[in-house]
Amino acid sequence: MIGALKRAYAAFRGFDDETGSAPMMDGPLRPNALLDAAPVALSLADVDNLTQHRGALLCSSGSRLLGLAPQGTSLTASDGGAFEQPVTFVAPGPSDSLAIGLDGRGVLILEGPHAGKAIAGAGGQPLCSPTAGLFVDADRLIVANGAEGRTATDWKRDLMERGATGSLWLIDLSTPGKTATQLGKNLAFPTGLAHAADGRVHVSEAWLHRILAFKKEAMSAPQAVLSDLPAYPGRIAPARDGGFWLALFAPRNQLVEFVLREDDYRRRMIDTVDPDFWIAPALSSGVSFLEPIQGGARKKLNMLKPWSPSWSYGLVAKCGPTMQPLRSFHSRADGAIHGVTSCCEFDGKLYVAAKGSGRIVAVDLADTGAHDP
Amino acid sequence: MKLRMVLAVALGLVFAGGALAEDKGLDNHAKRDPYYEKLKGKKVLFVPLAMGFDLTEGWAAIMRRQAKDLGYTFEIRDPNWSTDAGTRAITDAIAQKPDLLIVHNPDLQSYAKLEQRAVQAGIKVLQVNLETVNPTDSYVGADWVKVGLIEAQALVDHCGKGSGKSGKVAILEGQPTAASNLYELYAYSHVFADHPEIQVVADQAATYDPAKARAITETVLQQHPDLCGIVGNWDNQDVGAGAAVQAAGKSGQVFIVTSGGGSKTGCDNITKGLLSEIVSYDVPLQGDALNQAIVELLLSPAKAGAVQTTYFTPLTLQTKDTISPRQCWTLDDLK
Amino acid sequence: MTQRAGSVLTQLRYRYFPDHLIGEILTKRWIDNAIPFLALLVAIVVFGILLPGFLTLNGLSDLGRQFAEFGLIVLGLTIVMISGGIDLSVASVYTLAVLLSLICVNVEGWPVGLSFLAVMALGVVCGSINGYLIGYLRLRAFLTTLVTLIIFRSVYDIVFLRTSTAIISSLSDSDLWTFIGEGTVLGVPFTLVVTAVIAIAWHIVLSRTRPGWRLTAVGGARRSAYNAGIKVRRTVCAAYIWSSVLSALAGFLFAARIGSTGADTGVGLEVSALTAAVLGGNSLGGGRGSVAKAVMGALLVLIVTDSLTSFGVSGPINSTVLGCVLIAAVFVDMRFLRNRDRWLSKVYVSPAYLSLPPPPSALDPTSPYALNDKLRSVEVIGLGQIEGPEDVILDRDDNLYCGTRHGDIVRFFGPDHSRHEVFAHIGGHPLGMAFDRKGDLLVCIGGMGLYAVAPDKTVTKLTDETNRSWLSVVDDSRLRLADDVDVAPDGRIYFSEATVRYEQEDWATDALESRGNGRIVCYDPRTSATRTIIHKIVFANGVCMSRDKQSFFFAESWTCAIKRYHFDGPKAGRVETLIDNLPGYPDNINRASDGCYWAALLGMRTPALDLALTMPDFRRRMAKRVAPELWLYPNINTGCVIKFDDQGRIVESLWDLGGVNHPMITSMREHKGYLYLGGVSNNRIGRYKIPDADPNWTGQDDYWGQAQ
Repeated sequence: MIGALKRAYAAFRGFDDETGSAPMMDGPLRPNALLDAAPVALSLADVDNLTQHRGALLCSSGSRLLGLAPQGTSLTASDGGAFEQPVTFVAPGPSDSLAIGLDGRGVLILEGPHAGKAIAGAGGQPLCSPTAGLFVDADRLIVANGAEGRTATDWKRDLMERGATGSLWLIDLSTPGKTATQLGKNLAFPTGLAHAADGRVHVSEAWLHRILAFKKEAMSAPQAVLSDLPAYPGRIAPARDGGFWLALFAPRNQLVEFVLREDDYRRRMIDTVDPDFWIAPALSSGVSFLEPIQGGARKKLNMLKPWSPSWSYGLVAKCGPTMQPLRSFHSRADGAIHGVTSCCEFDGKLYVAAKGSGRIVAVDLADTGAHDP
Repeated sequence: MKLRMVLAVALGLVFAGGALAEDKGLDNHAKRDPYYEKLKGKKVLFVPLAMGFDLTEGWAAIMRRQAKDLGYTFEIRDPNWSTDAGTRAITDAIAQKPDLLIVHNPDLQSYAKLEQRAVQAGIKVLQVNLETVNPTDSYVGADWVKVGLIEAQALVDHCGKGSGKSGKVAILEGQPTAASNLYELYAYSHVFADHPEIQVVADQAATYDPAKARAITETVLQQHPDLCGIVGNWDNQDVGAGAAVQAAGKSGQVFIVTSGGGSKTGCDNITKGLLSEIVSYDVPLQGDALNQAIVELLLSPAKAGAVQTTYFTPLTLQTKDTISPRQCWTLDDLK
Repeated sequence: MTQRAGSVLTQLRYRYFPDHLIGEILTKRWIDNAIPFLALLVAIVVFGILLPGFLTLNGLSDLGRQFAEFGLIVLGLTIVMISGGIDLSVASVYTLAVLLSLICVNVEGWPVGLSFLAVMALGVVCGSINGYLIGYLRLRAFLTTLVTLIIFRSVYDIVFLRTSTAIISSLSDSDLWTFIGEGTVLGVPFTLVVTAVIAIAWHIVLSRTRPGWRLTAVGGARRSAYNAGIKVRRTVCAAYIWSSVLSALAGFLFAARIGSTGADTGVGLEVSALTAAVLGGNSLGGGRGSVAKAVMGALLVLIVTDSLTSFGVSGPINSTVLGCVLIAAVFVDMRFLRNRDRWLSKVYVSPAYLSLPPPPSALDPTSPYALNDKLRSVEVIGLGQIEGPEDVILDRDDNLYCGTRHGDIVRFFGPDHSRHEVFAHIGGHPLGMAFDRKGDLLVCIGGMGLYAVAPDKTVTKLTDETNRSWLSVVDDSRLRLADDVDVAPDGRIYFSEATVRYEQEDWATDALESRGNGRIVCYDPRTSATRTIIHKIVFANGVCMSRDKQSFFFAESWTCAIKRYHFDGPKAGRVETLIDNLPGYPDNINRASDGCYWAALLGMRTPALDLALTMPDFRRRMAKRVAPELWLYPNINTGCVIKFDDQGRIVESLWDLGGVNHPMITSMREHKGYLYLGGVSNNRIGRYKIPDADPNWTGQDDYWGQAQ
């Protein structure tokens, strides 16, 4: 009731209420161009989940898995297998376990004690958008299901339909498909998982721009450990110093927040317009002239200003052990490392996979002093 | 024999019946009808200084009661102590053409011209308790010169020759240009002129404000600790002076005489020792006199301003020894 | 089905309900006065009905007398408020003046004239005290006048006590004195005449004379006024003196009318006067106010308080009502009027309904719009030397002309265009250009109008206004955004004006609105007359003469259409749609050497914006709630040039996908086998070699024949 009155008053005054405004990128998230400054280690279309397995770098790209070997400043890729569906996550675990998510299908255990097992559902519902996986031990796997009845590739639709049907499952691999404990439900697209220092699990809830902490054993009321992010958080990777690397795959935008509250327009846009041309965040932008643009994104004197509003962005945040942001790496509106979906600290470098731009860049942590802000 | 008896009884019954149908006593149509008929629907407007204090509330209660009783309308236009608003209220009233305008004048001049205009417009004007220099159809209220004389004499009795007191007195004026103030001032100077031992050490206007009265009295007491008496304009104002005297611990020493409407509050102030003597112009009595004047003016065929009458309402003295509950009225008594 | 019915309703509602008028009316300067005026009317009507005697001659005459005095005080206070201060002491000065008048006239028996001078002197003295303290010693106005309010009042109390008996007991029998108080001139109270004359005089002073302007300037921005050479201290001091003099005059009139004074005279008057001044719309912050506002505020307060008294509303409640009105007025003053411009700019935008069919696909390789990168490899001229060449044109000697946003017309010398000079400086941003028969360069200047530059560089203003439309609320006689121009064979000059509602820098807001705000105007050099010939064009843009010598093409940008207007011949006066449903927004149109016409598409349509165009409410809310930098815009980062023939068939299209060289193409001009490209937000001119084009063709020859 009070909320409705506040909104009515805000509408009357013509200002936005708090829920409708994207926060500024400020403080530790102050914009810079560090991602663009980092050398490109590999150009790889659709590069997605970058991780470390058996002491080597591994990444997914579309429906393929690729092994990556550093060679000087760049990486060389070697084939690691192909699948029928796009690979949605790659999760290494103890005892050399390796699990991957397959879009629309579920989870497949590739290596380790339970190799070969496939988990298509949990708690009676299909894991159709397995966005992230995390081994608790060799026998137990936590899986985030982004949204009910929707593939992970279709994330933009879930956002614009204001989806909140995601769930979090603890799956016992010794009896796959039978024993699954639901750890969380009605989540607005969980996209990343990481072990918290206190024994809980960090989950990024993308559409609500926050990181939650859940208990690992049973359903619990989550606690927000980081909220009001200026971009949509994705995968979380552990950092060597006990902190985390948080990939934020798309920026929040005032116009998108506005459209999210304009039900009529949003409905018609979803029904009649190709998702690539929506007023919605994207992994990459500026590809087609059919994409909408905003006033500040006009080129002036043939230049796109770095502070222009844009649908895509490149952002990695370094967070401390309790998820508080410490510093960040950006690729701004005029940059070319957009849509960062994962990153992995390996051999003194931070490898950042920009799915939108199809590039992996290597940030030299020794250079930038990323560990001591 | 028997038949005659029956006839006689029957006749008796007939006569008796006839006698029952006939009036006993007199209807007095000739006087009653024009009296009630003429009063019905008349319009009376009252412009007081302000509402919300004993005098105006008292008069209004009494006047309203009679208006309701006799079927004429009685309305109040409250200027809330503002002469300017009062002039507006009166000009406005003239435009509304009531049959009678009752005015409580803030001073001797301000409304005088307006009242003249009202009279010219055919509206009878009754001035109540505070008059202007120009007489209109009627004045009902205190004779302020007499009030002043009584007050001054009381001071002389208390502080003058043979009293053994300092003879120092202070005058607390009300609204400097008000009728009460100017007529009383005349009376004071007249009396004090015959009593040179009375020394007026202060003469200031408290403008009906007890806080001002208190402040003035405090200053006077500091300069003249041997002050003997204070003569004031109005009891509601002069309680302030009483409070100052009491605060200075000189309750017995300083004699405070003033005038007022004789309400319970005034009596209480005497009981509490804040005031020594009140010359009361007795609001209930004034109310009755007003009511009588209202009826006379409404019924009188004379044109507005043609006949000018004055009724000085009787005065009573209230001191600690004389007050009794009967003398002290409350608003509830009047309603 | 319901959605379609809904859209029909939306369409009808937006076609027939003039939303834009609300914003336009609110932008008018007189709207400041309209609100108190309306309130006044309402008060008069309401109380006129409720109070029988109110509107009678007598009632009005009484009101007039009261207004005469109160109005003067409010006027005085208004003068001080315009200068950026406040004068609370008006009430005390007034009271002192009443007393002094009575002493002079009644007690001393002075002649009325002498008494008047004495009272005016009193006003000057009191005002000087305030003025000196506030103007010269720079004390705070509020506190200072609060103190003088108390001091003057105390003086009154002291003197009044001493003189009360004398004032009452001696009355003046001066006829003049009586006349001032009660006399009438032609039925109007004399005092009202006095006040009216003073009010008119002050109106003229404030609105028409230098001292008035200085006063307003000082109140608006003290520092700026000082920097502009205004004697700020003297001006402020004078404002207080005038305020006190007017209050003293009011006191003099009151004394004459009432002939008495009391302890309550003038008590609380400063609050009433302040309420009236603020209620009339005079800003507490200074710099904004007028006599009309003071008069309306004074009337409003008088009517309300008088009427409440007449209703028998008790005094304290009456005062409370007045207090509430003051608070409300101050709130409006603070919140509404101060943010008025920001608030208005949001209300002013009133999007219209515009439904475009799905655009032709540029992805289809068989389409005439099929994508290509022909323009990506164009040569670049003047890179970094110019900013904003909206249009380009070449003369017979191959010299290249373009406008810049700095207000210059720059000439690049042919044939290599490596050297350049400022050909003419006009001041506004030059947009569309054309050469007339004599070789004069005709230029549309954004915000200024139509100009001509002769070959010897002399600049002539041809026109900067057209006929005012009767039904237009905004003043559409001024040319806000003259855009492109072309010349008919008989010398008549036709030029487009993109929008009458926005200035050039706000063109995108007009796109958001997509309303028929544009027009085509004709200037006839033979009669020097300017007339609007086509109204309601949704962003009128490029204009180009057809080769049939009796019609021209014009681009209607936001409807993505190119239309043809017949100015002569059998179809004279008619507008035909030549091409509709372009994939982008057409800008300038010019002739091609092969008998066709070039048109620039300044930006491309996007499905999201096309959808938004059918939802005016959505766009209105967006305009209100989202910062302009974040609004949805036409995609002008991709440029395109199309060629069409006389029948409206698209012959060819030239693309620069991704807009590397020419993000926004607003103009192109063919000259001797090359196509020169301009863009309003570019820092270069492009040159594209047209395959198989006539290497000798020039626009001048095509229009005016071979040079003699």
